[in-house]
This record gives sequence, C-alpha cells and structure tokens, in this order.
Amino acid sequence: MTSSMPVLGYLITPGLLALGAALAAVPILIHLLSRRRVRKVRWAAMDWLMAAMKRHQRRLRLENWLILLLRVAAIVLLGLALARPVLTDASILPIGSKRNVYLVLDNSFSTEAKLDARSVFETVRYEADLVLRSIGPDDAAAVLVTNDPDEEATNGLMPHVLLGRTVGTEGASRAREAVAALRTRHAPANWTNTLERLQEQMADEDVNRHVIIVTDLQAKDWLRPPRERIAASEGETPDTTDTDRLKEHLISILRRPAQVRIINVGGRDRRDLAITRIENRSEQDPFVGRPLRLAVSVANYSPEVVRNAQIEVMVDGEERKRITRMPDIPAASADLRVPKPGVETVEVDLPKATFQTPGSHTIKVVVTPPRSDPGADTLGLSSERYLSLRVRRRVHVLAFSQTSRSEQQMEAEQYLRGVFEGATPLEDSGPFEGLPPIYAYESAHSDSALLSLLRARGRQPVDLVVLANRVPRDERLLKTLREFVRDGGGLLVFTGDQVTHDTLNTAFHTDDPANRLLPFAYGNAQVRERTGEKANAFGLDLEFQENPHPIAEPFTNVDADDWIKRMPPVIWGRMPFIEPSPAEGGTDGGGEEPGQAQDGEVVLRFLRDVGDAGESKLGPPAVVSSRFGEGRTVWVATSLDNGWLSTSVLFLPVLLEESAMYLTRPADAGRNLEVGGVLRASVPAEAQRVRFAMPDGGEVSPSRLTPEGSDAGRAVYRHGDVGRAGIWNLTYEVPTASGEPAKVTEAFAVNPDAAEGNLGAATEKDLRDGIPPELDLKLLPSYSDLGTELEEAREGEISRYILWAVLGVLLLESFLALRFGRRRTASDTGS
Amino acid sequence: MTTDSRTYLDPEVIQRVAGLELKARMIVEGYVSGLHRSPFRGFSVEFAEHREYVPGDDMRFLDWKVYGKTDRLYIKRYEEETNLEAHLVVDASASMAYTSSKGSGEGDQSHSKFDYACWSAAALAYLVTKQQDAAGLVLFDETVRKAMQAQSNRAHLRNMITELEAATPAQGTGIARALGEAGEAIRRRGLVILFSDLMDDSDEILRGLKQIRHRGHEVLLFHTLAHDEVTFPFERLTRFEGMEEIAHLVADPVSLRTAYLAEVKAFRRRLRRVCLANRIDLVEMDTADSLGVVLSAYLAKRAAVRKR
Repeated sequence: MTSSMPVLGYLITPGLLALGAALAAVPILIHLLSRRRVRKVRWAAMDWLMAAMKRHQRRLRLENWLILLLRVAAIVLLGLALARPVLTDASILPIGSKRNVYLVLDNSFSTEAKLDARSVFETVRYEADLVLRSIGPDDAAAVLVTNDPDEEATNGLMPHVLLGRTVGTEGASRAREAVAALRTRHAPANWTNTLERLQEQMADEDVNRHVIIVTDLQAKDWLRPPRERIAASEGETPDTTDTDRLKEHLISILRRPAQVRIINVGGRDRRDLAITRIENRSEQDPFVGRPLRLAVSVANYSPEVVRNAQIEVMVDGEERKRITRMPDIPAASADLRVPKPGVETVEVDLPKATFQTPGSHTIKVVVTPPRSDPGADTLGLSSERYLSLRVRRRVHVLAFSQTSRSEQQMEAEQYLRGVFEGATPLEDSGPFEGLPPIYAYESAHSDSALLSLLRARGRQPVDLVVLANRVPRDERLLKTLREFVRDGGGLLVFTGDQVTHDTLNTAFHTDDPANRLLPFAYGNAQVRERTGEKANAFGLDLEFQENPHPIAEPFTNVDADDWIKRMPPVIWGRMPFIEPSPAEGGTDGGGEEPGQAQDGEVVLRFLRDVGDAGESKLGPPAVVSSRFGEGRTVWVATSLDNGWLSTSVLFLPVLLEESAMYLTRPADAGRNLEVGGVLRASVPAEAQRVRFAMPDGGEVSPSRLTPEGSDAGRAVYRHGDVGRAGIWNLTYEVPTASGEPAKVTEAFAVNPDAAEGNLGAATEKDLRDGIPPELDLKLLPSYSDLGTELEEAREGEISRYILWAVLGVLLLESFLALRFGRRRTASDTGS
Repeated sequence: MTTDSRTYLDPEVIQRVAGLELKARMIVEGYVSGLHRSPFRGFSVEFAEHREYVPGDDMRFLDWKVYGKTDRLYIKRYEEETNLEAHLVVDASASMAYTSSKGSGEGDQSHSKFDYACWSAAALAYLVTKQQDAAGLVLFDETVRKAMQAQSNRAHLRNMITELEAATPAQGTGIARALGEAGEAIRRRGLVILFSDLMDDSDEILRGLKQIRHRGHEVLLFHTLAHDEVTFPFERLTRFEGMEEIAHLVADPVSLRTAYLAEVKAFRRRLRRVCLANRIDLVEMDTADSLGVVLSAYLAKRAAVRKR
C-alpha cells in the first residue's frame, strides 16, 4: 500500500462494525422467518389467483429480490454510516481500527525541570498513562524509554525497552506499572539510538502503526547532530544540517509507514541556570594550608539577563563561601535554532584554612536564582556541580646527585635545594620569588643511600625522584626505581655530561618493554664550543605547540612572549632523543597494565639545526615524558648545570616546578567525570572490599582489571555504569601491621552534561524541516489533543454521503414497492 | 326519515335481523319508504284516479288538461298489472360460501356471498309477489339442486324463502349445465335473475348465459363477489386453499395483489363484453354494497321489459 492511496477507516470500534453487519442480516432473517408463519384462508377465486401467480411469478421473484436487495442495502449503508468511516490520504488509519502503538518516553535529565507545580517528567508519566489507557484488547503496544532506568547496571545513556510489543490490555497494564515506577536518569537522551531501537521493535507485518513520542523536545537533541554539538561546546556557533542521522531515522520510521505524533510536554517558559565548569585557578595544586582559587562558570539558558544570582560553595558538605550578588549573567542568544547560553565566570577564593588534612576532598558549588526571579532556574540538578580534589600536605623530593667537587655537580645540588627548599636564595632570580613552601627536599649521593631512602618505611613517602646528572647502576636500585614509578611516583632525569647515552639506555631503555622507563633512546651527546655567540648554541623551540604538554604550557602560551621568549634558553651540550619514526611509534608498551611504559610524549623540542637527520621540519626532542604504571617520568636531554643559568634565569625553576607538579599530581582528572564516564581507581594490590558508594545510597562492586596475584603492586578497578550525578565514594580496606585494616575513602565527582540545562525546544517547523511533507508527523501539546485530530479526521468522514445514499435507497424501495404493489396506496386502503 | 330507512338496506344491518322473510320485507319496505313516491304506480297503463298535487310530486304526472280547465293541479294515478314471471336463479356452489374477513366491529358476523344472494333473492321475491307478478326459484351448484315454478301467491313466497333458508353452499360450480337445466325447467318466458360469483370456466359461463338467453328469457345477472375478492386485502403470507378444488397456493398477497386485481379486472371486462353482446343486464355486486342496488336494478329492468 502506498501512502497516497485513499483507504477507508472507521471512527468506531470493530465491535460496533460487527454489530452493524449483524443488523444487515435482520431483513434476510425476517424474510426467511415470515415464510414460516403462514396464514390459511379458504379461497373461492382460486382461478384468478392461480392465473395471477402463473403470469407474474418470474417477475414477482425478480421484484422480491430487488426489494430485498434494496432493504438490505439500506441497512448495510446505515450501519456503515453509523461506523463513521473516513477516507484518508495517508495509509494510516485513525483510532478505531486495530492499532500498533509504539510509545517512546523521554526520561532524560532535562525532564527533571519544573513546569508550574510539577516536573516535566511527571507530565511525561501522565501522558504515557493516557496513551496506555487507550490501548484496546485488539491493540498492540510497545514502550521504550530514552534512558535505561536500571541505575546499578547501566549509565543511563542508552535507550531501554520497557515493554516489548504485546497485544492486549494486560501488557498495557504492566507497562503502566512500569511507567509509574520509572525514574529519570541524569544522562541526556540519545534520540538517534532511541529511534534506532524503536525501529528494531517494529514488526514488518504491522499495520496502522502509531508512534507516540513524549518528550520535552530539546532543540539541542533534536536539531543538532553530535558533531555540531561538540563544536558548540567549544564555543563555536553550530551550523545545523538536515542530514542528521536522527532525521534519517525519523523518516525511515515514517515511511514504514507510521503515524508519528510528538507530544511536547516541556512547556514554553524554559529557563535554566547551570554551572558548566569549576576549575582550579590557583598557581598550584591544592595543599594543606594553602589558599585555593576556583573559577565557576554559570550558564544562563534563558532569553533574559539574570541579575543577582547567588553562588554557594561547600567543601566536604560544609558551606565555606557565598556570593550573594553574582555579576549579571547575559541572556542566551535567541537567533539560533539551538540557543547558545550566556556565560558568566566568577572567581571564588577559598582561604588557607580550607583544607586542614591531606587526602580526598569534595567541593560542591550551587547557583540559585535571585528571589525576584525564581523562574530563571527550572532544572535543579544542573545548578549544582561537584569537584573532587586530592589535597596533599607536602611534595617529598628526593634528589640523586653526586658529591663531586665538580662545580657543575655542586651547582646542581645547590640549585635543587634552593628551588625546592627556598633555603638558598637564588641569585638574580628576577621576578621569580621561589616555589611555595610545599616541598620537602632531601638528597642522596650513592646508590645505596638512594635505595635505603626509597625503601624506608614509617616516614613520609617519596613523591619525586630527581636524577641530577647521574645514573644508578645498581640493579636493585633500578628495580626499586621502576617499582617506585609504577606505584605512582614521579621521576625527573637530567642526563649530565658525565654519563654516556649507552649507560642511560642500558639502565632505562631496556629491551624488555615491561621494564622500560625511558620511552625514546638517547642518542650521542653533542657539544658546542662556547664562543660567546648564542647563535651557535642549541636553542629550544618555544613556538612548538604540536603537543601542548602541561610542562611546556608556561613556555609556549601567550604569556610566554612576555618573559621566556624574550631571552630563550640555550645550551652548549645535549644528548638528544632518538625519536622513533611514526611507523614504530607507540610500539613500546602502550597497554594499560601497570608497570609498562606508555607512549612517549615530546614536551619540548630543540630548534631545528643544520644537519638534523631526516626530513622532519621539527627539531629533535629536548624534553620527553611518559607514563609508567601509575607514575610518570620526564627526561631532559641535557645536564642540570649553570649552562641554563647563563641564558635564562627563570627557565629551570619553572621547568622544575611544572615537572614536579606534573609528576606528582594525583590523577584528579579521572576523579572528575560526567555521567556516562568511567570510574577508574588504582588501589594497593592488597586492598580489600573495594566498593563504590553511589550518591544517593547503594553500593556497586567495580570490576578489577588487574588479574589477581599480579605482582604489579597496584590493582586497577573500573566501573562504567555511572549514571547518577553526585559524589561517588570509593572505599577499600588496606591491611596494616596491627591487624586492624585501614579504611580508605576517595571521592569521585560525577556531574551531569551541563548542556542538558539548554531546555530550548524545537518547533514543529524545525522538526518537519527536511522531512517530506506527505509523511505523517505532527507535534501535539498533549495526547488528549488527538481528539482534535480526530475531529479533523472527521472532515474526511463520508457518513453524510452514505446517509444520503440510504435515503435514496429507501425512496427507491418505496417507489418500487408501490410500483410492484407491495404497499397499499391511500386509495387502496380507503376502498 | 328517508336516510334512516335506507340504513335498513345495509347488509350488516340486515344480517342482524332474524328470518329471511323478515329480512326481505325489511329490504323492500325500507327501500320503498325511502322513495317518497310509490314505485308501483306510474308504470301501469290503466288510469285509476286523480289526486291533488302536493309539493314533491313528480311534475311528469301532472294532469295538464285538468289544470287548463280548473286551474288546479292534479296528479294522475294508474292501476297496477301482474303479468311478469321472474325466475330467481341462485348459485349455491361451495365458492358462494366465501365470507369476507371484514367486519364492522366486535361481535359482528360477516356474511357470505350466498347469504347476500339469498337476501337479494328473497327481497326480490317479496317485491315481485307484492306487485302481483309471479316469482320462481332455482338453486344450483354443479346441477340444478331445486327448481320452483313461478307463482304469485304468498304461500309460494313463503316456500321459496324456506328453500333459500334451508340451502347451504356445497359442491362445485357447473354454470352451463345448471343454466341449461334451469332453462328447461322454466316454462314461460320471463325474467331470469341470476345470482352467482361465476367461479367457473369462462367458456362454460358464456355457454350457459347464451343458452338461457337463447330460450328468449330476459337475463339480469347479479355478479356477486365478496369484498375480499374485489380488493384482495391480505397482508401476511397466506396459504389459499381452494373451496371447490383441492388445489392450494402459498403466496405473498402483497406482492400478488396487483396481478390478482388485474385478473379480476380482466374477467369483469370480458364479462361485460359478453353481457353487452347478449343483451344481458349485468350488475356487479360487492357483498359490502347496499342492497338497494339490487332493487333499483330490478325495477329498472322490469320497467324496460314492460315497455317492450
């Protein structure tokens, strides 16, 4: 059946239609029954009767049939008229015939928005109930939700079939119960996946399909393909195209064919405030006793400016800061199909006393609309955002340097101590005021000393080992160093001019990838004579931004023009890395197994020099980094000596600080994620009872990635079904010498997709854009408005014409009955 | 009152009166009293006397000569004559027993064609006898069942009425044969008044009528049909069982009515043609009609016969 073919539909139930058909049989029954009730008359004028009968028998029979036919036709037509048939151009029959109803419900995060007294989601449930109540015994129904409601087993990003296609009211009753118990998820709806899933549910043999989608119809979901959504999140203006996969699915469903009705329950006044970002704007990571500056970005998704919104900052559940009059938050741009929010960022300074203990801390920031304009915020959860921080007391730096009388070596030791302890003020430090007092520095001058310090228990563990121009040779020490890094320690290596590249490669770039700390092998040392001409020295390529590494960032960002680029550092001796060609790249290690080096990253490069091999336009790497197990390493292709000092006083302290922070920074990035992300935690291998406590109660057991019995020293756990925003607490127990296990808790902040606050709705015009006009897609404010649609359908009713036909048939029957002498005329009866 | 008197001619009123003689008298007297003037005068040729004119008298009988001489209005009156033989031939076949289903109300009993024919015959016998004419009676079905020669005394009248009262319709109809036999039984030429529904083969009927006409009798034919036979009023499916034959027919009367009435009409048309050709006076009688029709037809016929 093509969609353009007119078909006959009925506005009443098939049951009534059957009744009409039964009524049509009545005249036939009467006709047959009346033959059995014969009256007897003794009659004299039999001759005339017989003659009349003989002469008119055939005609009488024909007349009888004709009259009977007309009477039956009258009743059939009357029954048909009562059935209120409609002629429709679409191949979809309106309500009345057996239906196949596919109900799709939006239980995404945005439906939590308040609309008048109740939430949008309550309206979704109400509409769903209306639809499910309308399911008749002959109808089939299937119910899908955009976000899987199983909070413990799914992250809620995928659609879920709440009720597979079921015929009859029992299935509808079950679905109503399921809908009554349904909850929203903190995840956005993925309509492309949902419509794809919907198509899977549609049986090919179905007819009269009704797809009813109950949603708040967020323009960001319905009008913007994912690619453009990403562009928009980066501040670019989305350029929506009509080749969206979502539209393709919609068209495919409509062409099955199916009647699609989208019920927009989101209302019109859709304003929202959302916190889209919290970041640490301090110079350093959070430390005990150090102040912290946070930058909080608030997005306004309404077309009006919001004034005097309030910001509240809570640390570990206690209010620490309140900004009662936030600067004006600009209005969202209304000229785009998907409104772009107005964003205002405020800085919140938390005092020194905020963090008094090291470990895991949480920050919760809440924005509330001004009292004068409470309607500016309708979606509660988007107004909150969490941040998980690991606060440290000190960074323990252990330097391995030589007690050589070499001037250079002494300088290195002094230099490190001066930087990390601030004990020896640096000469000519210029604007550099020294590092904050967050470091504990000590040094070792022999392999055995370094080994004992690394292995020592009962003291503050070492966070960072700096090999200052020196390479351990003791295999035990090397093994301990590997374990140290694998367990999360940082290793910073300056080559020094007293070692060869072979020594370094033998110690760190081993043939066994599992023990390879150094990602790229060192090459031959290159030394230039100091002629006083800087042009001869090896310079650093500070314009190199191919890989914006955190360590390189201060030297390559815009601000670097003001300081380091004015006097770029140069050196006269280097031991450049042999960078593997792209074909070999990443072959070393690269797995997720702890204790295996990950791909090396180039942090800084030397300027390209005459004679540099290859066709690369880039110079050889000067500083590289890599991950090894839970820890990281940074390798510098030259010595820690005064050669740097002669060119740029500030380069080394900044490099040391950035490296120290980078190498020792806890993996906070993994502790702050969005709904749908993966919780990944590295815990001591001996940790027991590893659990994640969900924000609103309940516990889940993460899956362990590291095999049991592994000698890796750390175990990695993973949980991917993160579907609820809030603080997820990782808890585990570590055995202690006393026998009483120590309980450890670490917080993970899970935030909703901030764009969910963008409640701007698509219009019917937007929705229809790109969809062929003959396809039956409509937008309705409520399922009850289908009644209005039925009224429209009645315009296609042909009852009135059938009634006229009935009248015509009855008149014809009367005329013929008179003509054939079946009825008495007035004169007959009078006589 | 004239109208009151005429109600006595209604068959349903007649039916309630016991005794055929009384019925006959009632019909005749009722009819006569309604005429304002005596039908027994005026047709005679023998002058009897003058009578002073009173308003309402027929102007035709004014004696203009007396008026010219005396300037007063007188009406001429004549003596009656008794020289007519009227033979009442009544069909007593089974078909004459048919009784219309129509009644005037609860408790009423409808009358059969035979009843109606007997009342008419009795009334005419009464009238004929009273006019000093002679009246005879023939009852027939397939053959002549009873034949009484014409006489003009009251005892004979009573006998005829007794015969009529005693007769019941039975047997088939054999009009040709019966009329042939009746013709033979009637010795003097006279007026043959035939009451029959003519439920017989139409050729036979024609032959019978021709036979009796051939013997020189004047014929007055009262074609007596029941009201149902003329209107065919049945509605429900009906099994029609023949009264003279065993045949039966199940039919929807509504669908058959037009065809049946057409058959009746065709038969009557044919009968009228035959009667006209043979100078037979035909009176189509419906058992629902007033009996005055019978008397009027007879009187008109008698006048015609006397003029000849």
